[in-house]
Amino acid sequence: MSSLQSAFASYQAAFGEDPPLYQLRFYGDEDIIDLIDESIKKNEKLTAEALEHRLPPDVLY
Amino acid sequence: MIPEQNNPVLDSVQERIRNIAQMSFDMLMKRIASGEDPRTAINLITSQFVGDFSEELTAAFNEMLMGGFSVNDIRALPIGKVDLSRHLYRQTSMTNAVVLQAVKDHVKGFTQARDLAMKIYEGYGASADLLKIKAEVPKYLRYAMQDPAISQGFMQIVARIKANNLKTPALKASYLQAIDAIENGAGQAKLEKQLKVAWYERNRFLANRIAQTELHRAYSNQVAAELMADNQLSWVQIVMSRTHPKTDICDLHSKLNKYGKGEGCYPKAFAPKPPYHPFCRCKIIPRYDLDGDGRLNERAEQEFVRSQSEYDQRLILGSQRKLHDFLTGTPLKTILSKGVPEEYQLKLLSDPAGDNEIQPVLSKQVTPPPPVATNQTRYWDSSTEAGTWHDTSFQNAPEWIKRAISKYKDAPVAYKKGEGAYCSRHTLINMGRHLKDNLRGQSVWRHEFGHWIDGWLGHENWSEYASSMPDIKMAIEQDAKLLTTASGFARLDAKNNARLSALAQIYESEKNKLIEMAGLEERVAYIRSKWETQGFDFDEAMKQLSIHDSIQEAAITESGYISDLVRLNQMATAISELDAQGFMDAVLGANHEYRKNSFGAAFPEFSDMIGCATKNKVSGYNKSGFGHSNSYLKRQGFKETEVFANVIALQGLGSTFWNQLSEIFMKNTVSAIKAKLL
Repeated sequence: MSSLQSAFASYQAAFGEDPPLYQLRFYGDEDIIDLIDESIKKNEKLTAEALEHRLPPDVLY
Repeated sequence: MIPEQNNPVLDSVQERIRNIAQMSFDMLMKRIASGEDPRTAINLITSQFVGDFSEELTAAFNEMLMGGFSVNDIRALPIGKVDLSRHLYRQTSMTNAVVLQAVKDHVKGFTQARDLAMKIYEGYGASADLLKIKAEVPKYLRYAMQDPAISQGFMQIVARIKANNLKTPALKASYLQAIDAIENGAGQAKLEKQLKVAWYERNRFLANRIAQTELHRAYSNQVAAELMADNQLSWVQIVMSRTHPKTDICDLHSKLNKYGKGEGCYPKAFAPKPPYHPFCRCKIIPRYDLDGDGRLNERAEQEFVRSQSEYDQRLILGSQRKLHDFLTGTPLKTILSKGVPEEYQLKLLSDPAGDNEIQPVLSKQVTPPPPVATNQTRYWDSSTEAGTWHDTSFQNAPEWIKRAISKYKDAPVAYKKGEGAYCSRHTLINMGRHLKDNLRGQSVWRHEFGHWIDGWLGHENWSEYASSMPDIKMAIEQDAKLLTTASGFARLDAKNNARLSALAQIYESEKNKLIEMAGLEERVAYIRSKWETQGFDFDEAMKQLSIHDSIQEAAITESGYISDLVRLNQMATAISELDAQGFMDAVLGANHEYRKNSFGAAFPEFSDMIGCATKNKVSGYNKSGFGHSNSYLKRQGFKETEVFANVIALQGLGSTFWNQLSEIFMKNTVSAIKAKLL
């Protein structure tokens, strides 16, 4: 299992659902793993809106 | 070379040109005075001057660019459409013709003055009182005598007559000698004055203009190439020289706050590259202290010009006519380019030096572009960062997309750790930590570059993104209406409920039909036939679906997973029903159990395209989990630009399967975007 799949599996195990995949696909593998790790550590789900708000204003993704 | 080192070289070459022009001129006057044929003297001295100038210019180029340029390299330097050598030949030929004419006119003029004076004198009798003659001559002759040359000639004749009347031979001889000396000296001084303008000033000015402008151009190309290759730098500032003499276009470039980062600050790729006019000394300063994306103000030029006095407005634009055109909406670039040879039109820092210009030398080697077959059209420069992304992501794209890529500038690419990919309009594309050899990275690049094209296409024709133009916007609305109706989500009413029920029945009936079939062969033949009836190449469709793990290949090669066959069949059925939701449900599985398998696929873009068009009523973020959130799509123009980016992403993949699929579900939109880009 790749690190990315492993990270998704961990997220699924922690929250019982998938993270917002569409928003995550705009990140590189290493950043996705970091985001999921951070989310599990803080026990906060990743949401589409939160991921969108991480971007600079007035940009398109 | 740092910017501060540029001006001393320009000052020094200016002084050296002045010196060689002065020395050549002194030599010219000496030869003419010594009685040498003026034509021969002028040609000889001019040729020496051109040789000396070429050597000085070569030394200056070597000093400025620290390069090993020979005089021949510099003589081959293009000035407009011709090389320096020919340009100087043309220019000096014209100058020499003017100078020769001046010499001829001078001799003729002096002779004529003497003849006229003699006639005046003779006409009124030599015995008359010489001092009174002038007062007694007719008015028209008195006017004629106001010409210093005539007056002077007249007075000399008078003096000569007086001298001739002297009785002492020695005194008479010495008077006449003195008058000769005065006469010749006056002629010589007059000629020198004329030639100082005709030869010296003209040659000095033109040589200096070439030197100042071309040295600064080569220097700016060098600086631009170095700054563009610096990945740590995003912003630059255009700064006027402290010696800038008067208001002109440089004021606009250096004082414009177009991106909200301060006067003269631009994302480096979009900074206007000096020189902006002959003798321009504007500099490009790297601004490492600036970061972020800035905020583009499309009306910044208009606002800046209008904030100036009427007099300065005209000086900035160059003429009253140009100012009028600008204020009535003609784009600045069009005004600045009008009547200007292509080589001298405004360039950006990201524009490479022209093929014939002195090429910048980078200390950091840029990766050479991969070899390209000679019979292939090159649509982009593979040596740029964006070009390498195009190589991996758009290599199979249809020609209309490749042409759009070639038309719109390569985007500056950033790789910001911890940030998702995004496109900042006209500024940059951030690819975060995506990798070029990764399908997801390529897919994201196609999407982001779709935004880039949308921004530039709109910039040319419209103030907003092209996707907000009425024809594209209307096409998206039309498709959205068809899609919501076809999937039963147009409104929550009986009609739509009926459509939802009908679709459910169709899919159930198809499923049962498949299950009842005798075996794998018959089922696959049935499914193949359904896809092919709608114009799809079934094998290509399977290839694409398998790449993205949506369908197990085993479904059609072994005993088969019936569930996968049912999904494959439902996809074909959904296409015939224009039911994008039914199609995506089949892709993702009844409980979206295959959603993760589509993570790196083109399905997220397909879902997002449908979701954005229908404001998440069909598929998209709400119904398929792939797409932009409702809050994002509420922003004006965002749903349209996302649809545009997804069309470019799907069509840019270059797969007949994805092309057909997007053309079926977003028929009007794809057609409108294609029409705009063709």
